[in-house]
Amino acid sequence: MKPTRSSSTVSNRPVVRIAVWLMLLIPAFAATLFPQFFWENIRFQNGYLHCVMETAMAMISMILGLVLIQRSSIVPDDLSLGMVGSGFFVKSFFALFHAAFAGSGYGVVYHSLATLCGSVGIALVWIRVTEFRSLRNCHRVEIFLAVASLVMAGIIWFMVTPETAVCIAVDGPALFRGVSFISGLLYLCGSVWFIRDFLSSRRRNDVSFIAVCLISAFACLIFPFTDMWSAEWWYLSLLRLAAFGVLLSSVLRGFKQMLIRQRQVEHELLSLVKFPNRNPNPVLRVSVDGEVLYANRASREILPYLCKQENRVTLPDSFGLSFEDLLASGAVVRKELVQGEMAYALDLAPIEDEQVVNIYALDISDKHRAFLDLQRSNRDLEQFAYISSHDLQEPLRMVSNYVQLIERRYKDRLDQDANEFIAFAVDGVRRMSELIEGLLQFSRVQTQGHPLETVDCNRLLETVFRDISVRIHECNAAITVDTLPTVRADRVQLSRIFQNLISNAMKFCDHPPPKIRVSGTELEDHWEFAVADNGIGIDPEYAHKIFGLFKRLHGREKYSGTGIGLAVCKRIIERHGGEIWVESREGGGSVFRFTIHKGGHDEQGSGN
Amino acid sequence: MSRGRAIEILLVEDNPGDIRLTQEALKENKVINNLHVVMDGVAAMKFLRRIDGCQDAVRPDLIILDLNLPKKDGREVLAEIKTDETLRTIPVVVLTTSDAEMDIVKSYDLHANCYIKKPLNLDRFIEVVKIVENFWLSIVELPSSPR
Repeated sequence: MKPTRSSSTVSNRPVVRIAVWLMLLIPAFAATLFPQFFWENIRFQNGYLHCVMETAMAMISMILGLVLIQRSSIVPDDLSLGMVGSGFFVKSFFALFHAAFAGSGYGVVYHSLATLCGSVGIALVWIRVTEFRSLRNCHRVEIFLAVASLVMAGIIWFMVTPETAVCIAVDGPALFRGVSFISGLLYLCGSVWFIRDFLSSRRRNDVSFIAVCLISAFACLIFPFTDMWSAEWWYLSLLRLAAFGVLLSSVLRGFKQMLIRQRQVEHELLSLVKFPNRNPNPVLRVSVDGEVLYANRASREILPYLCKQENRVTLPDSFGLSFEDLLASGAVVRKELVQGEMAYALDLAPIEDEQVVNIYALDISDKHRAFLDLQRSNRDLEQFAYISSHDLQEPLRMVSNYVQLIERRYKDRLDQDANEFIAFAVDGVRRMSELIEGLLQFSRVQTQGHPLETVDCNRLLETVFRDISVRIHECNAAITVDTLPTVRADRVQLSRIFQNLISNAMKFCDHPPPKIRVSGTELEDHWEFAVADNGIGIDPEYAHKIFGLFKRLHGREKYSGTGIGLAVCKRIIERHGGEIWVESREGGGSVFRFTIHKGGHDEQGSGN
Repeated sequence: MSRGRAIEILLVEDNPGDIRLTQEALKENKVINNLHVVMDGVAAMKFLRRIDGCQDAVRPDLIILDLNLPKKDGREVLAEIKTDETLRTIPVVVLTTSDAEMDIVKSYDLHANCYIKKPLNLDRFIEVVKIVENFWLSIVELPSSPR
């Protein structure tokens, strides 16, 4: 991210930059090549101005150096900043000494030292000082450089006596020319590093440093070829000023970028802060002792239910956990907060390293209301079932009993017709009662089902046979049972299906004895059971009708029944996530097949 | 077991049709009995505790109790009888229209002595009443004196 941003600023207003550079460099080169036109006969004469200039530049250099060092500590991936900064910082020390002793032998010595230190600092970028990273982080580099500079200044102070200084100034031009030349070469070395770095990373800073290095190198290299202490110092000072200008602009740009980035980050942070606040669902952040650290706008409606004290969340006792438990386990826990018709799903997310718990709530009141409605309607249905069984039966019983009482008491006084009418009335009441009973059973499939359990169908059939043993014996039925699977089902309801299908097979049989075969096979997601018989069969045209409520295919005189049995079977099987169907043709026996889901699929959710 | 007096039966039933039927059924029985009828739970408790105008009430030998009654329902009456030290030895036969599992379980939980669903068929009804009377009043040995 960073290199792309830097490279984009490289091309920022290039025309202006090039113009400034040309305006600076063209006169500078001209002055170098043709000094006679500029300051041929001006000798080194203005010592005070020199001092002021040197002091000012030393100050600028020092400030720049320090700024670079500081910046390097916040841009840890850019080691070169620190090196260049250190170079400038040290250089500024000697430049100050140079200014202080300008015109004397000391001044000349310090000038050379300043030049050398600056160039060494820059050339040091070649050394991959990874260990400097840790040092730099605690500002030891600055301390080290300051101490080293002071020590070096002290050594020079003691070694260079006024006598030797004069000697150096008079006799040593060759030495100073050499030092200056070497410094120039070191600056060139530094520039090569920055050029390489720029080619690989496209850092904007590198361009500035390349410019600084080249200008400084140029100044140092031409110094030995000038009449050193003549008026060219003007010119050299100008070059140094240009280098500082470049560096200053680089530093300022760094600050500008930093400010821009900071503003961006602030903007992002601000929008991040608003982000949860604009969440229509409550979001809370609480400390380990329940103090509310953050609560978004939507959490206003939920806070009264969570806070017993002002601004302090207390988890309801029903949750059975505390914030300490949550933080200890570290796992997100989902709980439901229910208050009358209002319900929230709370995700309690502990953040261990911050010792806080984030609470994300979701309004599930609609779902909860639907659940309550369902509960209510289930209760109503149960109530209805109870009323059917009791209150509807009672008047029926009265009719039946009293009609029979008439028959009993007045039998002798009634004629044949009257007795027949009474029989019809009693039979009607009996059938009505059976229908009510059937409806009741049908409704109880949902309301009074038991939870699903593991059922061994072989054992189950044994109990079924025991229950209907009288009937089996009566019609002399031959029943074979294959090995059946163990399934997950409501035991009572499953046995009811088998009992119903086997009873039907025995009932709808014209040519006794009935032959019945029960088998079970495994499918991918389901178990399939089959009850096959040799009975009267069913016309395929009506095959789908027989599972409807109160559907009968035969007259009551021939085959009794209410037409509720198969409807109940179908409903039970639907509860078990399966299907029931019949394969048959008239007179050719029937095969009733049904499936139940393997996973213990319970359509009603729970068994109540 | 021979009692030298008529058998006292308390019928707690709110449906006049059923009261009459029970009376008719008992009429056909050979056992000499006095049938006392109360039509709600509160009246039943007054009768049993001999209070509020029932001071002359006799202690019944058998209680036939319907579950769904006005005011105080049969379950409450049953609970009160079976927690009352002086009354709990009286056999209570629950005779009701309901065959709901929860009613059956609840009645036995409250220590009903037996639970019978009223049959739809008159002959069965008469038979049931006879059997109940014979069983509880002729076959079974009960403590003779009220405590």
